[in-house]
Amino acid sequence: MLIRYNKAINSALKEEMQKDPTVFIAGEDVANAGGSFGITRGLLDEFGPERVIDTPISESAIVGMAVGASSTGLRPVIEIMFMDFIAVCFDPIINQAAKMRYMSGGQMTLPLVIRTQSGAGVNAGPQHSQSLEALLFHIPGIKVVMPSNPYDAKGLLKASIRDNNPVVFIENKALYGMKGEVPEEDYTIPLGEAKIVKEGKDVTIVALGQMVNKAMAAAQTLENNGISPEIIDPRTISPLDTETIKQSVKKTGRLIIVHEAVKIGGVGAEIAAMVQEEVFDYLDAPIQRVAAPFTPVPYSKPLENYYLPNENDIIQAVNKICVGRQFSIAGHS
Amino acid sequence: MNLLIEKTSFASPRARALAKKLGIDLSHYNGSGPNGRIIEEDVIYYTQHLNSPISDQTPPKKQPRKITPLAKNIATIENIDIEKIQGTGQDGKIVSTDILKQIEPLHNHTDKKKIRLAGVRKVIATRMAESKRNAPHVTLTVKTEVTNLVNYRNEYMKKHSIKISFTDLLIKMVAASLQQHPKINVSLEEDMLTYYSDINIGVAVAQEEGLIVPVIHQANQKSLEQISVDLKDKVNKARAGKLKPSDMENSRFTISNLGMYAVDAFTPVINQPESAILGVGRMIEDIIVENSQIRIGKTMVLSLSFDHRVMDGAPAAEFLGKIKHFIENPEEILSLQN
Repeated sequence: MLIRYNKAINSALKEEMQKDPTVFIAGEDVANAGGSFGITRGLLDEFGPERVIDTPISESAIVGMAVGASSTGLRPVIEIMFMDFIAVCFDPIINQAAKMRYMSGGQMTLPLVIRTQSGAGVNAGPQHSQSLEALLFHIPGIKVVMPSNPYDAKGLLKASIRDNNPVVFIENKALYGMKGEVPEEDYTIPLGEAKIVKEGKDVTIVALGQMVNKAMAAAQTLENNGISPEIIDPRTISPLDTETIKQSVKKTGRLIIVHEAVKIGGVGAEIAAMVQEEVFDYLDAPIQRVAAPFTPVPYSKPLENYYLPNENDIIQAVNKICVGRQFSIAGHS
Repeated sequence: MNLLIEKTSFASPRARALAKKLGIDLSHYNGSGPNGRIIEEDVIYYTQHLNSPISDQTPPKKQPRKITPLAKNIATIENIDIEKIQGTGQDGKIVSTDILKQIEPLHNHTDKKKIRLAGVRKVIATRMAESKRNAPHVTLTVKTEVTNLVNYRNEYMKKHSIKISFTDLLIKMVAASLQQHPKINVSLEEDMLTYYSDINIGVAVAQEEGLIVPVIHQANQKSLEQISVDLKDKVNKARAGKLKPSDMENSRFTISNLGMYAVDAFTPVINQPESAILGVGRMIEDIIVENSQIRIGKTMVLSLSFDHRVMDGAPAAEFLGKIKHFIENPEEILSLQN
């Protein structure tokens, strides 16, 4: 069935709640209003106010409540309306949620999902547009998921809800309207498994979240120019499927990492470092990163457009390192 | 070290790994990758297309090095092999600074020491540059006979059993001259001229770190002894680094005496906001022609620099003439003091 990304999330929540009575939802405006992006629409009617809870505007309290609830055996799926607000709940996430399983020697489970919306492009200004996955990715003890399409969103959310560890589930706002084929029957996608979205032989492009789609758009142009990119969507950045990335780099010898977050200290830096540490001898060109400039997300529409990495940036990065006698641009001898 | 300097080609890790596996030396080949880097495909090409011993083959096409016209000219003149240079310009283009870097060690073997400008030196640098920039300097010079002055000084010291220096005498004479030429005792700041009634004479004193200028205040009202004691005290303080700001303030006119060196005349730089400065050269034995008669005497050259914004040549020349007059006729101002 062809559905939108937001509907895929909605149906994952609905199916997991039907299946497991310990699953409940809490967050700002998730019950009566159906979520600020309409993700939880209809759930209050079906499951009632005890399982679909409107909270006060206190993100720290929402996460704190979820840590407590999940440690007693419930499976909270809470929503932080904008990823930017996650900054106010770092203590419950980083010092509580991420540490409890470790500190209890695994005796305690913490099946808690924090759904949150990231990303620029909707003219929401510096405090409502950030991509902060690198901050969470840095913390051992939490999983970080970044689905790029409706099929993955549904399968990964179901797996996240069933996982016994805290999971931060990042939904890029720009993807909510994206349509995709999603099966009727129940399925999950294991956390920590990358997907090779497109096979290729000349350059590996690892793209995060909505950048997977920009990379796919760039791939069309590149193929026309005689360059064959392999596109990898890690889907989960923590745990990261390093094996798939390394195998691809071994094949292509070139790597480009694309993310919407700022370049400095981003996930791309970690992937680049890992690749050069582990498969240095397979690199045929310097690793490139395509990411946002090191600045807050601008409010101005033209500036925001400039800020966001796009297909052309990816094509430029590819053209910079796909130089050599095997590429048609350089001419065959 | 040599290896680093002579490295002219670069290979990707992947190309190097393959070359190592195949036992190929890549150093003679050009790469087709970014910035001329040897990539895996180049290694494959060489192994497939070149069957005889690889090192005997010339590379298929030697790409001309990218180089700016200026860099190329310098390289030609200095006879620098551009193949050995790694370009730092766009896409590895060789720019002039790359060539100059190669030349520098050839031309410059001397060690140098660099010290950042600080303290007194920095203040002098700023003030001197400002003065030269802002004030159009004109320097007038005149030869002055000092035979009388030398004799006068000796007699004076014998009579009073004290030691006075030529600088002490010059301060006294300049103070007396300034008193008679109030238009010289003036300063210009912004577009405002200030005329002073006090006559404060600064004396440039050389020190290891740089010049400083202690001031003899109200020099026109002081006796030669007072001036001598005051100056000695301030010079000693200056050398001990104990001069107070008040000892250097409100100077109206400066004397710079290089008489102890082999200097006849020079063009002193005005100590702003003053409007003029007197440079004093050495005393020499000289032939003096007077009334068609030749005699031997002693002379020295006075150099007066003045700020042409504030005054013109005529009053400055009159003022310099007055100093010359007093030096040649010291009894006129010193006779009063027994």
